[in-house]
Amino acid sequence: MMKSAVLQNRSTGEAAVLGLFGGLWAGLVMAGFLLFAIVLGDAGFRDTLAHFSLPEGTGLWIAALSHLAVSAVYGLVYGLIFAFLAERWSWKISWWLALALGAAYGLILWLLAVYILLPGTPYAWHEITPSVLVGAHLVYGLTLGGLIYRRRYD
Amino acid sequence: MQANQSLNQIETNRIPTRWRTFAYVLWGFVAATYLGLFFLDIALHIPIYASPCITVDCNNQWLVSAPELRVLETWGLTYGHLGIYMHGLTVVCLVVYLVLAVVILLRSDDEAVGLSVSIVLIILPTSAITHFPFIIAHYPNLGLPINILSWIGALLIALFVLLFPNGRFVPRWAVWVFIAMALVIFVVTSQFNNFWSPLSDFTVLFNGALLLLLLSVIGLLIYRYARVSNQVERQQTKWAVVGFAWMLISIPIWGFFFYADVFPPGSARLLASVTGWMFVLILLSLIPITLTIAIMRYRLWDIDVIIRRTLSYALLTIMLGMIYFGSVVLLQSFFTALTGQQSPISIVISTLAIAAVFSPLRSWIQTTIDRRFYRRKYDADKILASFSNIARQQVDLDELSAELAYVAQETMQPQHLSLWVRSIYSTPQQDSLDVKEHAHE
Repeated sequence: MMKSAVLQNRSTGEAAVLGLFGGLWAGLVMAGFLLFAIVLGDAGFRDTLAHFSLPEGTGLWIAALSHLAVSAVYGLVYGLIFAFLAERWSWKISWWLALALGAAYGLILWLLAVYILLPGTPYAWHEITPSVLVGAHLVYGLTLGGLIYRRRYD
Repeated sequence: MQANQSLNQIETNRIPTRWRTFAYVLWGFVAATYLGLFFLDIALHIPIYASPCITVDCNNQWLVSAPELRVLETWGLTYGHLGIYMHGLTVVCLVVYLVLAVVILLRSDDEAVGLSVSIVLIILPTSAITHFPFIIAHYPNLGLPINILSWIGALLIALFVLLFPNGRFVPRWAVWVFIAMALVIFVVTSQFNNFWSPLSDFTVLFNGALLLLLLSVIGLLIYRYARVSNQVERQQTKWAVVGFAWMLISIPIWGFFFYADVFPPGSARLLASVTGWMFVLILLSLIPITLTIAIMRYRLWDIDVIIRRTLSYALLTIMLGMIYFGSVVLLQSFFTALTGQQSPISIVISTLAIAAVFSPLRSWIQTTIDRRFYRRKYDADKILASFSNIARQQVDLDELSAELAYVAQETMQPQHLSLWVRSIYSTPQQDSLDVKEHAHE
């Protein structure tokens, strides 16, 4: 449906901004998915929210904002990567390829989080079922890929 | 030409001659008594502020306890200095209100709106700061006049809201809302001032009725703005709403960030008191400024620019804060995972990232706000940008002329448009033949 679309000329700054907002929305979708998936599992709503809380009595709002801020920054990075790919490789990026790129990016983030970033932190991430965590990052990547594609191609 | 059209749209609603004297006498009486009570309140409070609060609960914004006194001493200041600062700020804020109230009164030209705005500018600060029950506790005989006065003050504020900006009740039955408010406000203010409470069993009922009436007033304001007000009146309403919105925003901000009770005794509480009071008074001072602009200078100011900029910079601040926070968290995690310790380089990189993204982010937010809320401006900008692209590439003069005519039509919407293209080889007579006519309905 988007195959006849034209790539918009965007500066690096614009690409970063597109990624930033895409990351924010994708972070919201990911948080919704996580809550939904965990609530459908064996945990109650309160326990689910507890997964997102930081240690030493930090409020849930701060935890939620941290999640959104990190999502936005990851989105910004993806916006720049996508701009680089689209312009340097001069590909005719299709809808499906954009989704695949997003999904790959989500999986890379998951690997990065689980094996490098999160182990040293006091977050309660390890209490989330691994498949749910992978799924959440995939949802994040797919949403981000779709949003950035839609924004870059009118 | 636009300014003349705007002037023609202003509906004047002068006070009838037979009521004029009464209106000015009422104005003078209310203003004088409110100011008198304000200064009486200050005079009654001076003995309390004369000595520091050490034994009683010192959560009051204006009182300090022993730890704050010690901090003051380390700053080389005394309790008296603090009192002068706090009272001085209050008086400065009041003076802003009074000066603008007098300016509006002198320029009101017997218009009902000017008179009501100027009296509201006196009632608002004095009634907000004056503690009426405290005065009644000292002078029980003043109970009845103070109660009647605070009732009149509340009524005048309600009247101002219902009459603004053209001095008429819209729709006409809004006058019944005002009458109902008069009855309910009388009971509620009596109970608030601890003066007369024969209907205390029905407090919930009256508070509920007041809430309903306030909601209906908001509904009437929206109706007036959307259905009745002309362009100039809408601009005036926007100015007034901006001022009151700042006041409403300032209260929760003060409560969250500056209320002394939130902080432990000591320098933090003292700083919160000192900066918080200044913050509140600065925001409160915006009300008379915006109302004065709404009444007197709205033709020279563009409220839309201020609203647009406020919205965009507020969003920009939030987004930049989010980027900074997110990137610091991420980079610190990276450094901790790689080197086992945190690094200040993450802060440097985050700051650079913010600097890099500032300009495109501001531009993007502004465009989005324009697209959502200021469609005409967005369309005009888009058309001009598109023409600028075409002008760089188009070499055919006729095509370019047609494009230029289209741009002028879409952005300025003239009734008639002529384009004169002068040839370097033509005579003046031939020039007149080159004028391209573009007539528009």
